[in-house]
Amino acid sequence: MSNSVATSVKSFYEYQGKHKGILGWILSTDHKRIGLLYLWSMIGFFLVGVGLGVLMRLEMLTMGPTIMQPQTYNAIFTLHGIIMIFLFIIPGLPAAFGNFFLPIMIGAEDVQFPRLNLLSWWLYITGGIFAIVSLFLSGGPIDTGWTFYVPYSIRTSTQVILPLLAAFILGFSSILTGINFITTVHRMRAKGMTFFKLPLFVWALYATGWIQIIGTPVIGITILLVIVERLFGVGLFDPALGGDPILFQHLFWIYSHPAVYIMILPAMGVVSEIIPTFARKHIFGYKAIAFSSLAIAFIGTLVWGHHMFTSGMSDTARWVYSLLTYIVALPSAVKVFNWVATMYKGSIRMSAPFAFVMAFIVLFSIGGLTGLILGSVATNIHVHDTYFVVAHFHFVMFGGTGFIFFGALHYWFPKMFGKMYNEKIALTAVGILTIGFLMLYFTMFILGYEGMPRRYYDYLPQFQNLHIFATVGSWVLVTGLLLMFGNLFVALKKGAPAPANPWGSMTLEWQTSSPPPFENFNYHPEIKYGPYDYEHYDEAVKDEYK
Amino acid sequence: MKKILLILFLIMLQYGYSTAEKPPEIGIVEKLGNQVPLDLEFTNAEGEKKKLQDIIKKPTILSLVYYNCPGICSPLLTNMSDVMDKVKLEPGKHFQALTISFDHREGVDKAKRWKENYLASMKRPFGAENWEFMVGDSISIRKLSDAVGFYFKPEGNDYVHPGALFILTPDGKVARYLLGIEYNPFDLQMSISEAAKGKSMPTVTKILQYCFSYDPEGKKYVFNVTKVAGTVIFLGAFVFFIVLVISGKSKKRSKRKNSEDINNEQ
Repeated sequence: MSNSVATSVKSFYEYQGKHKGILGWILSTDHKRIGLLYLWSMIGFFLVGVGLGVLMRLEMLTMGPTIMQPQTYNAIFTLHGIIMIFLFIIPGLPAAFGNFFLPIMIGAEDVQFPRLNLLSWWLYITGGIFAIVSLFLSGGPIDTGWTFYVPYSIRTSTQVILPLLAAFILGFSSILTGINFITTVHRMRAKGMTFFKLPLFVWALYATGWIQIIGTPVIGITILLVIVERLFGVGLFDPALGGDPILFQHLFWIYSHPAVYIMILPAMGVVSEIIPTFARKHIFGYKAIAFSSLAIAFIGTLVWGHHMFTSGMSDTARWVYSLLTYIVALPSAVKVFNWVATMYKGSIRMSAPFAFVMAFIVLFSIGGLTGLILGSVATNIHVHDTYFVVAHFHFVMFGGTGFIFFGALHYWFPKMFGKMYNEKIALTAVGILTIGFLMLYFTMFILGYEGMPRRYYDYLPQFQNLHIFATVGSWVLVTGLLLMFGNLFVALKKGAPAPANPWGSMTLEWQTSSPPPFENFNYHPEIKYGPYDYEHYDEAVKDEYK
Repeated sequence: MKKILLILFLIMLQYGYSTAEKPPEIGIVEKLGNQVPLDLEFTNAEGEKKKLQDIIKKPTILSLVYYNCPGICSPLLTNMSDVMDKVKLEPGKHFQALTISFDHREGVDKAKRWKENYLASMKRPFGAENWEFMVGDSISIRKLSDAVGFYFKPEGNDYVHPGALFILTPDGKVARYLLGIEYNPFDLQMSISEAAKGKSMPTVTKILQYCFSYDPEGKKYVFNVTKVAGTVIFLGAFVFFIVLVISGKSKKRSKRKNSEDINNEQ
């Protein structure tokens, strides 16, 4: 794994563009710099979200007001939701790692529309600023929950319009990214890179792009309607004026359910990259995984009603949505079985990214299967709006996407920053994270099953022990996060230089120096083998990148 | 007295349709989708006897009046001719009009005079064959009025009755009611295209019809924002996909205008 040629190539960090210093970053149209801008801003927002989550858990440590009053708690769970969902996990993997790696993985120099790409980031930051500014405006922080359900969001005296505008702007950022990625995949592939030679992360981003384009305008329109309703009281959603609050729920979930697939699909794509690399084996069922992404994207747009089983719907609608929910579980299961089958008889190297994937498969499977409990009408009625839902959501979103976000960070860290991190500490962090995660969120399944409602700042005495246990779990989880980020931070400062291909992978992003040069490759990539054809590793990968 | 009656009509008109169970003495009960008996025979202004099945072959605007009416019938027909002037559809091709007297004592001469009057008052040539004025016997009249849910009552020499236009489908079913005596050309156009559903009609009208849906409580057409937005989004995504597939890969282009840069570094 020598790196003789790569070191002589100027990396994109050293490339001198039109601007210097900070302007060289925030005005750069280089997809790698934009990806890193996203990465840093998202980690920033993520840490704020974690802080809010820790505060919530502290409040739940004892009965009654522990460290805050109910109104503060309402504001904090709303902000936790808005920040984590709209500012971290929806842009998440596509905006950070997709931006950085999608063009490299298909052998392109950049995305199709680099300036649009920069605009997406600016919109993202504008949305983030709007969300933060809204906290300090008259009325105080929004307290509707991240779902903005009417009629409360129309009547509450807190500041609703600005956070809604923030979500609207973030939606635009998301649509633009989707358009950019889809166009790039169609038009910028290197010679020989057919659709069925695309790495599966690219397939996942492609499917995600379509959901972003089709789903996001719906939430945009809905948000505008809520703003109009709040300002002018036209009676669209407010039942007192003859409006229909259920209509809002439909419109909201028409976007927000596909949005969870925007969040999870790219993570599944990353898993499909990491497993073949560390098992040194062709992925099992390449086409099945690729098409299951498209199937999830398609069926995922038809299942939103399962969020509304208890809010007024015909029996026919209930069973249809329930059935579709069960059907959408199939392509996810196809993926899980294919990943496990890929490892069978592979030569596995247990490194940090792979450990994240292992944790992911367990946590995501629990999250996915409890999703079926929620998707079945009979059981849904019992656990609706309880901690069971909160636990399910955190298992798929944090245990799923969140863990893979960290996994992707560890997988591509050497490529992005050209440094190696301490793998033993990283593995320890994975262990602590998983233990803390299970203590915190698995407890919530039990709490929810026993009847603890979500979004309450107080609880009955019988829930006390489990709440204490969960809160301790949150401390373990935070310890794991600090250890993980600390380890990466140290690596950034003092890490050993990374070789071009530290994991011995076959995908294109490893067939260039670490960090990559400004135009990604110092040769014109031509693709002869599939991205996971490890039996052809010696012919496919140039010697300097082995 | 007449004024009081007129007010009574209008009150009936407002409340008539809500008492669906037992037909009111006077008023309108909406019977959407109800089949008008097509074998009924009436006499037109030219004195020819015609069965309804020989007349109703395209969307038909039906009005029930009587020619000696001292009250709302004249303004009703004036507004009917006015709205048919304004509607952006071609008479005789997309729709036709039919006015039948529900006073069985009235003869062809009255029908002829009214027909000439109203056709002459229209701003665009409407075509005499496209607006029949008819009279008939009391049994046929009653069968027809019951079928469309129009209830009236004699009082002295006059009648107490509601006012409305009935839009019939080409096969004689009740498609829509336009209640009262003043009509909006847009409502009429929508009603006609709805009545013609499945038959030939202008594409624009079809699209319009898709974008608006009938709100039975408000008795009017409302813009269907969810349907329209959904279609626009899906259509946009579809066009985007087709453009991408057709345009294929883009030509190679380098990020650096100056190719020497690359050479220097290689």
